[in-house]
Amino acid sequence: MKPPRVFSRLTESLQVLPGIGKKSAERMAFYLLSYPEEGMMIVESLEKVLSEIKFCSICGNITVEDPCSVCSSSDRDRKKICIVEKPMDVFAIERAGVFDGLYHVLGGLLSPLDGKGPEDLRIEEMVKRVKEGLNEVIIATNPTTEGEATAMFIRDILKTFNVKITRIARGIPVGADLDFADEITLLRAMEGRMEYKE
Amino acid sequence: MYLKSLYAKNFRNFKTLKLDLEPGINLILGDNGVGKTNLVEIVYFLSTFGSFRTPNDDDLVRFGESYFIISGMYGDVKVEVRYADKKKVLVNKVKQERLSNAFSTIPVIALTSSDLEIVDGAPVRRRRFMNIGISMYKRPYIDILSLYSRALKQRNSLLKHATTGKEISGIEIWEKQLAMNASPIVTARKDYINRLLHYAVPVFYSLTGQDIEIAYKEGADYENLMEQFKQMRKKEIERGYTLYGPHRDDIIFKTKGHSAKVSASFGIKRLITIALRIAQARMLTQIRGEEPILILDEMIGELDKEKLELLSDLLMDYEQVLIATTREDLQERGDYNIYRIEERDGAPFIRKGAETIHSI
Repeated sequence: MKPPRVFSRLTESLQVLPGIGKKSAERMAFYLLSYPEEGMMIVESLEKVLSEIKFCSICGNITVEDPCSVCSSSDRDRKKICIVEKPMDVFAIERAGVFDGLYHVLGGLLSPLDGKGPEDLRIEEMVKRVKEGLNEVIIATNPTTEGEATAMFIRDILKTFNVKITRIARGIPVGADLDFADEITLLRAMEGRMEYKE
Repeated sequence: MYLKSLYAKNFRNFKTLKLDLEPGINLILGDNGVGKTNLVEIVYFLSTFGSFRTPNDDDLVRFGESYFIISGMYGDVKVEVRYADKKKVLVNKVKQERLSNAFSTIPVIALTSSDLEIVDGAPVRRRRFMNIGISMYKRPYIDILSLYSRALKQRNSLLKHATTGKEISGIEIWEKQLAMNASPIVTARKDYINRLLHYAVPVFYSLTGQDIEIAYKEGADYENLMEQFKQMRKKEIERGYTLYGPHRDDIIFKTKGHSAKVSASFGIKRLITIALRIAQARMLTQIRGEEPILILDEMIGELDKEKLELLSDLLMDYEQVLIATTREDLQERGDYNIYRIEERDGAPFIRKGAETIHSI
């Protein structure tokens, strides 16, 4: 006997989510069936998110108000932008409170394997912002192959403009023991060493 | 340091195995098919987190089971591998986030029958020989290799979907990533081959009275890799994948001035393989300041008396050697620790020296 059609439709839609296979989708669907109240709560918040959340027309981050609170703030350095892959990266940096400029969310990284080219990222919007006049662009993509390739791509595009381009440092985590650092991190830390000035 | 004990559960034909090992030469005797190779495979796996017989870890799980656990005490360091769909490595009970960081914590050099492919087989076999050899003392090498492979996949995917005569937008970015990671890979490989040669020449000479040459064959024009990509674009698009780079490198072994792959006899090919493994072991001893555990899985079965004598002398330098063989006459050669594997009711039993049965 096959599961009811409506049920299969649910498991199929759950499989659209990244990292969710058939087995996990079925487990989720059964869970939602057994706890209908929680299921309804998910439905409500999903509806709310889909109707209220939009992408900021300036930086591309997720927001309720457009432009977002960072882009519309008056006490941030508007001549500096930090380029990140995804909205969660903005929240990570904001949580740390280590940056007072603006952001630019690319919405992904270059990856031909996933069919992602420059036209799928918010590159044009970035160039437009640089043209309006900036002092510094900080490239903060992850140190993966795709992150490095995207960083390089951005650098090549921006080098014709009169703007300082920087890349976030990679190295030993603060408070960590050198003894426990993994070896590629040590290698990168060695490569990215800086003059120790007063 | 040496391997004091081994534990295995559901690994190959072992249901549960607990075995104490001794320093010196450990001779693992038994008929074909009782599990001698399985035993040394455990040791090799604890060092490299892979088998020398199969790329597929599922093959190692005992029939009808869903997981295996193996561990070894190397001095006071415990290395454990748990496998159930995914591999988990623990060093002194600490889970390793990156396998590359724990690679070769127990240094092992293994000489197995599939090693003949290093001389005889496809280039990929020789690249793997270098890759594993380098990773034993230069761990970031594995990570750089995987960054390189990722960039290679990305570029190949662009080439596959490209049409001849049309510009491929954004391909240079991936070429730069390839070039950036190719350079440390090639430098490490050339350095490795130079050092290996230094150790292999005297070993091969003592076994055969002949000279050996080992040359590194570059899979691209590394001085001008970006230029080469540009010039060969049409050809690469036609083929649909990247034709130049470290993934096309090779090693050439020569004896008497000729390629050993093409013209050496079977016997010489086997002695080249033996010399390479001993050279690796000597080199590792020098670099890491500790002797690796040597594994000899068969390979020595058909050596004549004189070569066997020469080889035994070379083995004396190592703190611990594990030899899996069907050759009973080896135990007369010296003061070896004897392990005898027998099959009883379809399960392997191990006897250690004159002691009683040790494991099931």
